[in-house]
Order: sequence, then C-alpha cells, then structure tokens
Amino acid sequence: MTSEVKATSRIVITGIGIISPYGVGSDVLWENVIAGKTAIQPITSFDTDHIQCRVGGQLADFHPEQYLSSRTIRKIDPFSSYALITTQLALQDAGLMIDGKKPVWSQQEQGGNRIGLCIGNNLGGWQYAERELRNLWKTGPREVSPYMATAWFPAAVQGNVSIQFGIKGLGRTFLSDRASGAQAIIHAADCLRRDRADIMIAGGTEAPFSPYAALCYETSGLMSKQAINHSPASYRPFDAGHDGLVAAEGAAFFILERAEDAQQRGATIYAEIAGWASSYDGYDLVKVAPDGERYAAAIKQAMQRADKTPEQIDCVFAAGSAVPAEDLSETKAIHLALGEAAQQVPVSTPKAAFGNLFGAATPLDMSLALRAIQERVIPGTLNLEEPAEGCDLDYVPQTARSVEKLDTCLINARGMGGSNAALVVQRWQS
Amino acid sequence: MANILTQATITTRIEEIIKEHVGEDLDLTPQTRLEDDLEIDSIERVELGIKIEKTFDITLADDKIRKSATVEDLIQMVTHATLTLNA
Repeated sequence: MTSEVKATSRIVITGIGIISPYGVGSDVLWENVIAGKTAIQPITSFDTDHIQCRVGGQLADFHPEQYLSSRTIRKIDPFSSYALITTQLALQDAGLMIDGKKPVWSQQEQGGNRIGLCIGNNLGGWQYAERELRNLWKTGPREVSPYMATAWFPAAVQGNVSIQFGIKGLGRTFLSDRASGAQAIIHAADCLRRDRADIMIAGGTEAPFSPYAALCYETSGLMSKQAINHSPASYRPFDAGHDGLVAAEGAAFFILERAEDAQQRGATIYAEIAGWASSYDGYDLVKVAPDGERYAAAIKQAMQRADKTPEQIDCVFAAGSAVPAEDLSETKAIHLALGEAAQQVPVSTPKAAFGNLFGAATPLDMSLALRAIQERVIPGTLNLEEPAEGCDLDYVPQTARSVEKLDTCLINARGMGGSNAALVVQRWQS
Repeated sequence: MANILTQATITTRIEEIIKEHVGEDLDLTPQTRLEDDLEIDSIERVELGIKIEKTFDITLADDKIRKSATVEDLIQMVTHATLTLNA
C-alpha cells in the first residue's frame, strides 16, 4: 500500500467503550438519554458548601473492582480507571482482544509499535492528588503514596493505558478543556491518514469531582449558578434559563482504523469519521469570541474535508455549554458555517441530561452520534424549554426526534477561551 | 521496640504484609523475587516498605527498599533495623 493511498484513506470507527453517569456501556447511555432520564444529582462525593454548582453527573452503580484488581485501583486516580476500563471495552468490541485479557498485537513481535493512543483530559487526577495532599499536611510526607508521582497528572492515563495494553506507537495527551477529547480524536485520525499507525485508540476521560478541582472550575465562572439549589435541571443549553454548565465524570474511547485495514480483518464498522478541523479564537483566556467566526471556520473546514455541503448535514451535536455568551456564539458559528441550511438542521445537546464530561465531552457526544445514525433518532436536549434570545436554530428540545434521513452528523466542541474543534461522522458505506 | 523479634517472627510478619499488599494468598519463600515473581515494581516496593516501617516501628531508607530484590532482602533489612534499634 502506498502512502498516497493512505493519505486518502477513509477513517472508520470499529470499537466503542463507554462509562457514563448512567453506568458502563453504550446501551445504558443511549437508552437513558432517549428516555429523557436525567443523571444529574446532588454531588455526594465531597462537601459542596464552598461552591455554587452542587449537582453533577456522578457515576451510578459503578464498581471498578469488577474490572480492575484492588492493587491496580490503589495506584491510580479514577480518571485512569475509567480510561483503562473503556479502552478494554473498546478493544473487545473491536475484536482486538484475545481471551478478554491481551490485545492481539501482544502475540506479534513488535506488534505494539504500530498502535497509537490519543487521550483527551482536562483536570488530571485531583481525587488522588487532593487525598495525598491532605495526608501530607495532616501527617507528613511518609503518609503520601509513592504513586502520587505517577497518578495525578493528565498524561498519567497515557502511561497506564499504554503499559496495560502494550501500546508502543505514538502517544499524545490533549488538554484543551472541553475540546480535549475532540482534539484527541482529530489527531488520531490524522495519524492514520499519515500512516503513522495502523490502529489508533482515541477518546477522553474525566473525574472532576473533588473539592479543589471543582473550585478551579467554579472560579472560571462557567459553572451553573442555579445548581446551588440542587436542581437536576440546572444544565440548560440554549434555554432562556441557561447560566452555565454542570460537570460529569466518565470516559469514552474508540478504536480507529483505516477502512481498508478494518475491512481486511473483517471488523464491524460503526461509522466513518469523514472530516475534522480545529481553530482558536485568540480572544480571551476564558471567554469565547462573541462573533463565532473562528468556530465557524473549524466547522466549515471539517465539512470541506468531509466533502459535505451544509445541506448534507443531517444533525448537529452542539457543544452547548449553557454559558449564555457561549450558547450565543455557538449559534452564530452554526449560522455562519451552514448559511441558510442552518435553519433546517436539527441541533441537539444531549449532555444536558447527564452533564459535561470536559475532556471526555466530545467522545461521549460522538458515541451518541453513532447510535443516532444507526437508529435514525436524534436525542433531545433536556431542560430546553424556551430558547434564549438570539438562540434561533432548530433545536431538538426535551424529547428525541425520529427522522427519515440521518446519515451525517456534525459534532462541535469548544473549550475555554475558544479552543474550537469540529468532527463530521457519517454512516459507513463501503 | 521493647522486645527483640526473632527471625521467624520477622519472616512471618513480612510474608503477611506482602500477601495483604498483593491481595493474594501466595506461597512465599525467602527466595521469592519481588519484581519477577510478584510484579512489585520499585514504586510499589516503597509503598510496601512504608507498611513494613509502620508494622515494625522502624525507619528504612527508600533507596534500600527500592533495591530489595527478594523477600529475604526485606527480612534482612528489617532484622538489621530492629537490631540497630535495640542495640
């Protein structure tokens, strides 16, 4: 195969692993979102008196010891646990695990050298770090876990996953706030196009529920203020009552391959990642540019790469932070990028039901987009009752919408200060 | 420590600590290798060393803990530390 062929190769998704606030697996996520069930609840994992955003999408009925040894769990932060488990699920789903324990490349000499890993994360392992800092200040350095050095920092996940699965090709960790996961997927797709790997594992993971991590986000001004009342309806993208986002924890990882490689090994193909692009606002450390022009540029470039006209976009999964200025800016960006077609394209932010997973936000959105294409159903945006002034798109409020045609989805991602990304995924047609 | 511990007591306690740490009922001998047989890497050996320190109320140097290769190395290290403490 020549590099020229690979440069035009189509990039496909062959495996999915999900942990969401609803539980483990993509079915439980899809079923709850479509049923309009909220996973937002009062935060119980720490005392929230010092912050306003007192609700979140905490993991329910999740027992890591069912997947990992207690010895492993002790050494790592939950954000690494989520990534290890979802990577394993994705590899199993893709048919790349032998006897459920070792990846197929472990049986080939230097087999891991052509496997790559791209991870999106935002906060790092603050649950672990805060516990150990408390130990340091209360009882001294001998009470600090020696694993502190390898547990807390954002790239810890990359190390843990690569060791666990013998991944010895390229590895990257992306920190672009809520666009981190999108950047990870984009880079993975690029690496396959550039023939730098044969299989890429890409996604995001986040464990944001600890006092200091929550405080950091709170001071950014992006979190919902009405959540001080413990309302599960606090996350309201594009709604007149929007006043910020609500955090969630979990992870989503995908197996990406060139289509010809996936077909050759007989893999099931979920969908194609047809286009991608990113841009920056260069405007402010926290605020996004109100005009949405650079965001629109990323969306346009992703559509161009996918060879799609605005009329061919069947659905938009909006970043939908529910920060009023960001909702307005995103609405403008969609108008700028899609032109007249923007009025006809359904726009949804299903994460209103379970929270924003920051570094894993776009991977969760992408998993829902894949299922939406499969089912021809667009999940609704919970809590969207009356669109805010200036938010004038065809939002899909509250309940899911069945559609006749759903072949192509645009997935938007946007982080603090206007770190923008867009992905175009489409139904696989060989 | 008020009483001088016998080598047998030290061996038994260290084996108990290792079994609890690894989370398995292992068949340990003094020759059991920490890294090759039990997959206890250098960082984990420091974690294990801290548990041993607390159990025997002694202080062990991190570099010596990291260099311990076998169960016997740990036994000897603790024996030496307890003897020094009681000298």
